[in-house]
Amino acid sequence: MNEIFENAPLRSDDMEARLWDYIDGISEASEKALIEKLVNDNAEWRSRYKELLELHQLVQSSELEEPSMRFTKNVMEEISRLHIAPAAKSYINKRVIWGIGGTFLAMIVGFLIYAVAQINWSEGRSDN
Amino acid sequence: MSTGPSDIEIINAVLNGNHQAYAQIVQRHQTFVFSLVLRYIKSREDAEEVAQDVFVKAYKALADFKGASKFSTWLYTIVTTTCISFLRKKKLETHWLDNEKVFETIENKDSGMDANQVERKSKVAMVNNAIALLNPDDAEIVTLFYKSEQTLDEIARILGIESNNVKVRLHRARTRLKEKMQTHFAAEVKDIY
Repeated sequence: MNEIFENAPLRSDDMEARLWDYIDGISEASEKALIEKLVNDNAEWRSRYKELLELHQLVQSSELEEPSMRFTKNVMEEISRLHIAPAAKSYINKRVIWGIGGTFLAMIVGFLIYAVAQINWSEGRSDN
Repeated sequence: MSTGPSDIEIINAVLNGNHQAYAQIVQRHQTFVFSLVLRYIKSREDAEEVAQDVFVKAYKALADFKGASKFSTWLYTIVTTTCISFLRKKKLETHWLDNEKVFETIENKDSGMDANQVERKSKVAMVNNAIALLNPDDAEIVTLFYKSEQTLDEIARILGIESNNVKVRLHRARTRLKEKMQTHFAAEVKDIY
C-alpha cells in the first residue's frame, strides 16, 4: 500500500481535497482508513493534515455578528403595519361599495327620468 | 438539546393567528441571518435593514413554507436572494476588504490603534477579519458550512447549485481564506503554523 502512494506523485490539490473530506467527516470508510494510514506514515501528508486541521478549527472558532438590540422589535413593528392594512380589507367588501354606488346611481338616474317625465313639453305654446 | 417550541410549531402558531409568536423565530435566527447578510453588505446599517427585510419577506411567505426542508434552509435562501437584489438595486460594489492598501493604512497607524493590536493577538478576531476579506460567495459558503448546521445538500439548495459543486466551492473558499490569513496576518499565522 505504501508503494502505491510513494511511487505515485499526488497533486497538492488532490491531497488537500482528500484531507478536507476526511476532516469534514465525509470520506467513505475505506478512504478514511487510507487517509489515516497516510497521515500516520507519510510526513508530507501529516504536515498538510495538521495545517488544514488547524485552519478548520480556527474557522470553527469564528464568531457571528450580533445585530442591534432593536432588531426584533423593528421586525415586529413592520409586521404589525402589514396587519393594519389587511384588517381594513377584511371588513370593507368591494362588492358592497359597488352596490351602494350603483344604488345611488340608479336613484339619480331614476330621479332624472322622473323629472324629465314631469316636464310638460307643450307648455309655453300660446293658445291664442 | 434545544428547549422551547420548534420552528415548525412556532410557524403553525403564527399561521393560526398568533402573529406575536413570530418574534421567537426572529430572535432565534437573527444573529446568523445578520452575519450572513454582512458577508454581502459590509455596511452594518444597510445589513441590518436588509436582514430585517429578510424576516419580513419570510413572514409574508410563511404560508408557502411547506416543511420540505428545514425552516433555516428556506430562510437562508431568502437571505441570498434578498442580498443580491439589494446590491443590484443599489448598484453597489461589494466593498469587501480585498484592498491591501486599506490594511497597510491600518497597520501603519500609530499606537492610537492599540485596540487593533489587541484584536490582532486574538486568533478568533484574525479569522473573522480574514473571512471579511473574502469575496461574498466565499464568505457565505464558509459561514454556511461552519456556522449554520446545514448539510452540504442543504447548502446546495440555499445557493442554488449542485451538491457536488458545494464541496468544490468550499474547498476553494478555504484555500483562499488560508491565503488571506498568510498574506494579511502573517505574524499570527506563523504562531499557529
